[in-house]
Parts: sequence; structure tokens; C-alpha cells
Amino acid sequence: MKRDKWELKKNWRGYLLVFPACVAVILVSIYPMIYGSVIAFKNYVLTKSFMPDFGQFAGLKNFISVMAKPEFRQACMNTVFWTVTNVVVQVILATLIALALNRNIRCKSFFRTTALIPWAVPSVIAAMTFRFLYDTNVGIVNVILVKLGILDQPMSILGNIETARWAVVLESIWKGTPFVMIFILAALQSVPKDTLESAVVDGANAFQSFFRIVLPHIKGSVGIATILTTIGTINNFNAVWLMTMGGPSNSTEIMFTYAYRRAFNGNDFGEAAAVSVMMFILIAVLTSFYVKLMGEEN
Amino acid sequence: MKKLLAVLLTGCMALSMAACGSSAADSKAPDSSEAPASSEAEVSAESEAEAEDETLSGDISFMVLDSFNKDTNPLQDATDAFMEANPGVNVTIEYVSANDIREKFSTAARGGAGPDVVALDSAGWAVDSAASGLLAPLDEQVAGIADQFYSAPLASGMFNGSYYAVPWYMNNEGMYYNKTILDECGIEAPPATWDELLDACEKVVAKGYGGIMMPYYFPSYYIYPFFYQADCPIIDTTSTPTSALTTDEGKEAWAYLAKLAEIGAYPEAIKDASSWDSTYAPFLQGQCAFLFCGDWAYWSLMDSDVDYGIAPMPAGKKAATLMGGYTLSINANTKNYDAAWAYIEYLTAAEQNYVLQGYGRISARKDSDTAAIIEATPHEEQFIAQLDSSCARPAIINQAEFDEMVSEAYRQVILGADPDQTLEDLNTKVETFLAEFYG
Repeated sequence: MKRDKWELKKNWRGYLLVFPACVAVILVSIYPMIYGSVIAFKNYVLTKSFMPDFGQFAGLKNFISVMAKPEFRQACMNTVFWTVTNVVVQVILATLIALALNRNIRCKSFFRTTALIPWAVPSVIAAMTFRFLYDTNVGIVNVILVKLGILDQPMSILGNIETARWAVVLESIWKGTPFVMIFILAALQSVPKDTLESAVVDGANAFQSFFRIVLPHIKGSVGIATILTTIGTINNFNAVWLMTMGGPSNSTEIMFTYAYRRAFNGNDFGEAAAVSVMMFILIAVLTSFYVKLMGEEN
Repeated sequence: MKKLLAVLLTGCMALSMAACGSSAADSKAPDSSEAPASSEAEVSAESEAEAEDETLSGDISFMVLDSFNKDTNPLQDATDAFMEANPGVNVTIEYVSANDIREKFSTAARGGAGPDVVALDSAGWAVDSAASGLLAPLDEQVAGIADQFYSAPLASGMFNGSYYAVPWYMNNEGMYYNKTILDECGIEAPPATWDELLDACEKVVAKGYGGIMMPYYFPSYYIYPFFYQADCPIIDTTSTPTSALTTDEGKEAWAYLAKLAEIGAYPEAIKDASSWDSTYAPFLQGQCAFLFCGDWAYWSLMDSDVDYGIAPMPAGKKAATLMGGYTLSINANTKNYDAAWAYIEYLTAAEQNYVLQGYGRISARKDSDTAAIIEATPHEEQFIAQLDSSCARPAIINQAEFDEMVSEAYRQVILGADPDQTLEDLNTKVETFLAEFYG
């Protein structure tokens, strides 16, 4: 206790400087999060505000109600597909790109900078751009596919169930891969070159060098990038909403867009909050893995 | 020195937070600091120059679509005249895009703030806002003037038997048609009946053109008139709301809509229609024969090269179309109810019809000078001809959710789902939905 008091006395300026930021974080992050979690356990359909049970405690009713809906179950399945596909492809692609950029190639800086451009493009712009690329009448994708004879006539890529989810995933992969690539590229810088050279001298091929030497060195960073990408993908509202709004026929609906729709179409903030709580628990579990991995890295 | 710096920096950060808080407060509807307005004072709608009750006072704000903010601004002119006639009242107009106005109003109102007067789409926005406790009731005021307005827009502002909105302007759905495509396909006149529409679509599709463009992102707008034309109310609201989708009339309308999908009346590009602009695009590009939309499409089409005409909706058992438009409501949080009502009464009075005419909009008043509207904006002629056959959407709570259910069901039919099963599934969902709100 004595030591804590001395610590406070010594560092009071720092605490004082940090205090306003803490208040801001509590007001705009912690409080809404707690309030939203509380709403998840209440009857909170805004257009039922005239009913006597509005705002009353409802227990797990919202959670049960939402899980009974086939649209929500489909949104969960879509979220799994959306996340797994994005993360797996992004990590593999990012690793390949990072390995390429780690070599001594000409104009390395130019390529490294250019590779970051998708990440720098605002997500709304990226989504709208891909919408135009996929457009049935004027989109370049349809033009190329028809000219190559793959399609007889233009098709609505975002309007058909078979193609919509892959089209949205492609945009997300394009946008998210540079972030993972940067993580892995930084980790590759730390791989000792003399170890690699020794392996080559000992007769190891490229695959063996990668899996036996490089990968063990970078696995921590790959793990962290994977978790961050997973969290970011689960939370990626813009790509889905701006490109398909969860359609066609809920084929691209994820938990996030489902919650948004329940809130702003259905006015059911209780169910929307229930979905948000479920997402929060999922992301909190992933975040705990991230923190643990960070600790191990340090 | 370090201590002084720390205190100064902390003070700066605290001040910046306080500044953000006060600017948010500034953006809220201004509170009246005046004495309470007399409940006996009413603004006369007879003349702008007439002497007004001097106790009517306060600052009020009016949230309206940004399409009313033009270089020539009849709304502002009328507002200035209102303020001149009521020196104690100050009106501030806030222009907001159609995409944002509903959310902006409801977010502010739920926070205890928001504009005193708001323009809301007659597509159930007033009903939902009233059900959410965001609007002030207007029974006493509207009862005296109800017979001056068309019944459909008047009904769109009622909730639980009470009025919460006053009709301002109305529109309805019409059929734009490409004259060149119709000529090429040997269609002499725009289709006037269901059979003629079906026949026309088969001919244009056979020639390689698209048939019908409609807002694929909410096809309920396009679907409802066909139900009304089959004499099906969609939801029977004469007593406790019940679904009428699977009545004989409902099935007839659904079967017709399914037939249109079956013959390929909707071009592939319709699946990209996620906004009004993308809905117009194939028609604007001369690739599609018909566009089902309201009078506002004219402003996007008027400079195009397409030789087009406007016709009433094809009739089924009877002629019918979907009514749209906007109503005016008072925020439940207002501290200047009397001034807000006086402004609404003024804007919706016959003498102020020129305001809506200046924007090419049709007043919801029965006594509006439609001849003058047609002279000023000739494209309104066919829409005005449909005024008497305009039907409002079913006045139910959570209209948007119901619209989305119907829209999704029809999109599935367009994508190839079995129409009969889809209608049955939709009916089941609608009955569950209605039971949730109406027991």
C-alpha cells in the first residue's frame, strides 16, 4: 500500500494526463458495451414502446428467439464460411507475397509500397469499386468472361446465389491481404540468414528451408496476424452490406449484418444486442488467444 | 515546469471534451426560452399578411429532404412569410438526404432532442415513429381539417386510431415505357391491362430487350399495386390486422407476378439494382422497355436520349397504384407544440400549394389545382390521373420489416423458387409477424 501511494505520488502527472482519455474510452466504448449487453436481456422492440412489458427484463428470451430463426442460423454458417475462407486464403497469399518481397529483387521498395495500396483504400471505396467491376452491363469482369467465352451472356455476379458469396470474399481478400503480408514480412526480416545459408549448403530445398527453418521463426507473427484477421473479418460489415446487403436470399448475410437488420429494419434492439453479445464473446475468446500469443512473442 | 505542463495539457484535453459536448448540444433542436405559448392562439391559414396571435412564439426547427434545398427555394420563401406573420416564431430548416432523414430524426428523438417538425415518408415511417413514442398526437388539430386531404395519405399517419401526421404531398407509381422498343416490337400502345403487359413483355424479351425494371432491392414497392389491382388488400386492417396474401385474390396477384418472372420479363441487370439510380440505368441505356417508378424518376430521365412516355399502371380487376409521398409530424420532445402545429397548418394550407408546385410535387389536398401542376410539370399528368386509384400501404407497425419479407419472397421467385410454396411460407411468416404486434 505504501509502495502504491509512492508510485501514485511519483507518477501523478502521467495519471492526470491519461485520465481524460480514460473517461472518453469509458463513455464511448465501455458504457455503450455494457448498456448494449443489458439490452440483450430486455424486451426492447422500439415499436412496442407502448406495451407494458417494454424495457422489462426478459431473461434469455432474445437469445432463444434469435437462435430459433433459420435466418440467424444461416448467418452463423455464412460467418464461418466468410471468416475461414478469408483467413486461410489471406494468410497463405500474404505469406507467398511476403516471401517474394523478402527476396533481393529490383525495385523492392516500389513493390512493397504498391502491395499496401489495397489496405490503404477506404473500405467503402473498395466495396463500391468492386460493385462496379462486377456490374452486369458495364463491369469489366463480365466483359472479360464473355469475351473469353466462359459466359454466353453477362450475369449478375452479386445477384446470383452461386457467385455472390465468392465475389464478396474476393473483395475482402484483396483488401485484407496486405495487412497480413506486412506482419509476415516483418517477421521474415528476423529469420537468421546464416541459418538459411547453412541449410542450403546442407542440401535443403526451398520447401524444406521454409517449413523447417522459416516457418518456426515466423509462426508467432503468423498466429497473431491470423487472429487479428479473424477478428477483423468477423467485424467486416462494410464489404457485405455495401455489396449485397446480405443477399441474394441471405447467402452473404453474416452475424453483423443480421444484427444490423434486426435493429434498423425490425426495430428489435433486444435481438440485435443478443447477436452482438454472442459476437462479443466469440471475439473476446479470440482476443484472449491474441494476448496470450503476444505475451509468448515478447 | 513539468507540473505546469502536465496541468496545462490536461486542461486542454478536458476543454476539448467539453467543447465537443457543447457543440452536440448546439446541434439539438433549440429550446424555447419564451413564455409558454397560449393554447388558444392559432395561426390563420387564410392570409400571410393577417394579424397573428402575438402569444405564438419560440424557436422551431424543421427537418426536410435536401431535394427541397434549391437555388429557387419556395419552401424558404414560405417560411420567411410565416415568420413575418408570426414575429415571435423563428423557424430553422434543416435539409437532410432521403437516405438519412429517418435515422437522423429517430436517433435524435430517442436522445430527447431532434427537430420540432419533421417530414416523414408515408411508407409507415410515421406509424413506426408514433409506436416508438417519438411523435406528438395531433387528433384535435387534424380532426378539424381531415376532410381537406385524400384519405390514403391521411391514413398513413394514423396509429392506434390517432393521428400523428398531416399529409403534405403525395405521389404514386406509374409506368415509364420506351417508345422505340415498343415500336420495334409492334406494340402500338403502352399496355393498359395485365394481359397486355404480359404480351408486351414476351414480345420485347423475344427481341432481346429487357422487359421490366423495378427496384429489386425492395420489390414490395412494385408488387403491392398488383395486389390492389386484384382487389386484395395484402393485409386486412379493417379489424385486427390479418394476412390476406393467400386469399383467392392474393393468389391471383402472386400467380401473375410469378408468370412475369417465368417468362423472363426481368433482365439479368435487375439483380444489380440496389438503388434508384441503378434501377433507372438499363432503362436510361435503352435496354429495357418498362420502368415502374414514381414521378421523381422524371428528373433523372429528362435529359436522356431515350424516347419514352409515361402511362398509368396496367389494370387488373380494377385500376390501382401504390401511393407514396411525405407527411409532416411533430416531435414528441418539442417544447413549442403550438408554434410547430401552426407551421404545419400553414405549410399544408391551400394558400401554400405553390410551395409544392415549385418542386414539382403534388399536394395531398383534395383542392389542389392539378391543372396548374400539369401546366408547370406536364409529366405529372398521368400520375395525377391515378390519384383516385392510389392505395396506401397497409398501415401496420414495422412496415419496413413486412416490406422486406414480401420483397425477399418475390426475389426468391425471380431466382427460381416455387411460387406457391414461397407464398405459403411468406404467409406463415407474416402471420407470425402480425401476431407479435397485434396479438
